[in-house]
Amino acid sequence: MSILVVSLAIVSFLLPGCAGTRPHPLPFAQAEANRSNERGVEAARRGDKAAAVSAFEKAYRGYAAVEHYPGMVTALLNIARVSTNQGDFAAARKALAKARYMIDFVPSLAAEFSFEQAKLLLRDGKAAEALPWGERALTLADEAARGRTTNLVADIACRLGNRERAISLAVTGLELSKRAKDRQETANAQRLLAELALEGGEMPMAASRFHEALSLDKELAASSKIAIDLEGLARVAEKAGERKKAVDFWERAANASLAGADPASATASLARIAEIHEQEGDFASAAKIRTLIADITKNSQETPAK
Amino acid sequence: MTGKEDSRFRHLGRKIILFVVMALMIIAGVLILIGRDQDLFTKKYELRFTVDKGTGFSKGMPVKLSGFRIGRVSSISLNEAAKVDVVLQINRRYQKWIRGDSRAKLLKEGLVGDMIVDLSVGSPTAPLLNDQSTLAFEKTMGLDELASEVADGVKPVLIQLRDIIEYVNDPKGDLKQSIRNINLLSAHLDEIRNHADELLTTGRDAVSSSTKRVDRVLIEADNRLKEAGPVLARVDRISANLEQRLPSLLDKTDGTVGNLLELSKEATATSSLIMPRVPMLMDKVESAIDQSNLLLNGVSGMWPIRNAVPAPVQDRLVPGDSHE
Repeated sequence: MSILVVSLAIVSFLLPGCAGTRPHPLPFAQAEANRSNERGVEAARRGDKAAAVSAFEKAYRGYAAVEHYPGMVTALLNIARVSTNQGDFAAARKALAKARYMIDFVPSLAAEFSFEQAKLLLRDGKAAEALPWGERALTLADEAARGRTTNLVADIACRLGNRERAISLAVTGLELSKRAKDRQETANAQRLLAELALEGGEMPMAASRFHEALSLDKELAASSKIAIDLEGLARVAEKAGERKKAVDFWERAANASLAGADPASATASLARIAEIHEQEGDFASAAKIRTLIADITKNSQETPAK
Repeated sequence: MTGKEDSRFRHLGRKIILFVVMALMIIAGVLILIGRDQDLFTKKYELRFTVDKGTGFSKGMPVKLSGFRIGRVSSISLNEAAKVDVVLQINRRYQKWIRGDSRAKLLKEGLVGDMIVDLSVGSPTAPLLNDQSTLAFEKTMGLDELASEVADGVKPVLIQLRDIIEYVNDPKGDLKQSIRNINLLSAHLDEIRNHADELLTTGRDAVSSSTKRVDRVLIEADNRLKEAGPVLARVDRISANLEQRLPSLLDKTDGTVGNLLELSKEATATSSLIMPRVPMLMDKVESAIDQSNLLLNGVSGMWPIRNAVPAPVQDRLVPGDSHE
């Protein structure tokens, strides 16, 4: 038996070419650009957005040197995504504008390009212009991206006031995201449905959806989205007349925003708490909160953001 | 009739003759005086000159030399060339001063005096001018010509003066503005003076308080210096101590430095042995790394290992997020 095993091992080492051809190694310049792109993706995953953009720019230059359009468009899309997350919308627009000239050569990335274009237009408040891009992205999206794209189009429909379509798309997006085991997009869909429910006056449904989104965002440690979910829960509580609960949620949202280095959202949450106190006649507490808001604002102005 | 004659009538004839003779003599005397005054008995000669215009000349006009009358204008006439010939009658006794280079000029005596012909004294070397000789005439400017010349000279000055006056009078000009500013300044002078007074008072107070502070500081410094006395004495003792111990310390330091030098020499010797071998070692290390890479690449391409090794990912995208 042992002789048999040894023989089989020897044979397997003597026949290296049996199971297929060796892939050809990539040209050095392209391999280098690839590595830069990889480094950028890793940096974005770590949250080091500056390093990510720098790596993607290096990757773009490397791909451009050998006129590798898929690489160039990929790098530009990555720059646009990371810049959007960073709040640098001008850089995102610039990257997408550059990619637009090359997208015809890279049809495989047309869906992603359309997705980012729709998202940016939605960010700029141009929901009507975003809709055709979103629908195009939906048409071209592959299985993995369909849930995400559906959620985006649902969001666009919500902004355009088309509530029925928004709910329908959000439900579809939720199902697709769950099927693809995409927790981020599942949370996004839940959040969107919660907003729609809140808008429709369905408080219990809104609260339930926000809680679902919150638990998923906590698993993903997405602090900004945690704060948004808590703000949503606070608004639900306010509409339901549960002021104490609302204050509690606003406070948690403020803490999450501060921890996530987003003082603007934190001060907005605290301002809402102050207003609630004032409505209840507790002006002393309101004044304390307003002092705290002023301190946070002052500190955020003195300390430049990273 | 009486037989005796009046004594008053005795020799009447002689008396009448005497009277007439005396009267005639007086008349003659007067005539002679007049004649002498009019130069009737003096010898004269004539000189002439020609001028473009006879304006200003008149017959009988005095001719003067060095301000002294020596003759008169005897005639003025128009010649064939439509110019004016003027003839002068000069006393001969003045002939010696009137020479070839003498000039005749028409002048006005003083500002409102009569016109005269003024002759200039000739140089002794120049020839004498005889009777009927031609004298050179020097044209002098008439009043109108003088006035015109003065006007030409004065005109630009008047124009400049006018420009200056315009410049001075210009309300937007520098001068008026400066005067305005000076007025404003002088209007504020009182205020400025009051401020200056205040400043002086404040400054005086500040100086006075500074002086007091300086006094306090000096007193403080004095106290500190007194306190420093014992400290300095201690420093003296320490430095004396140090002086005693310093040589031995320096000896020890020398020894240490010597050891360090020895060490550095050894290190230099060692590095001089090692350094030439470093490039060779680096080459070997690089070659070893390259061979390892080759080996790894080769192994990673072998079946079934290559199935476990993930293929290099190309063109990976950052995950998208539908949340805006």
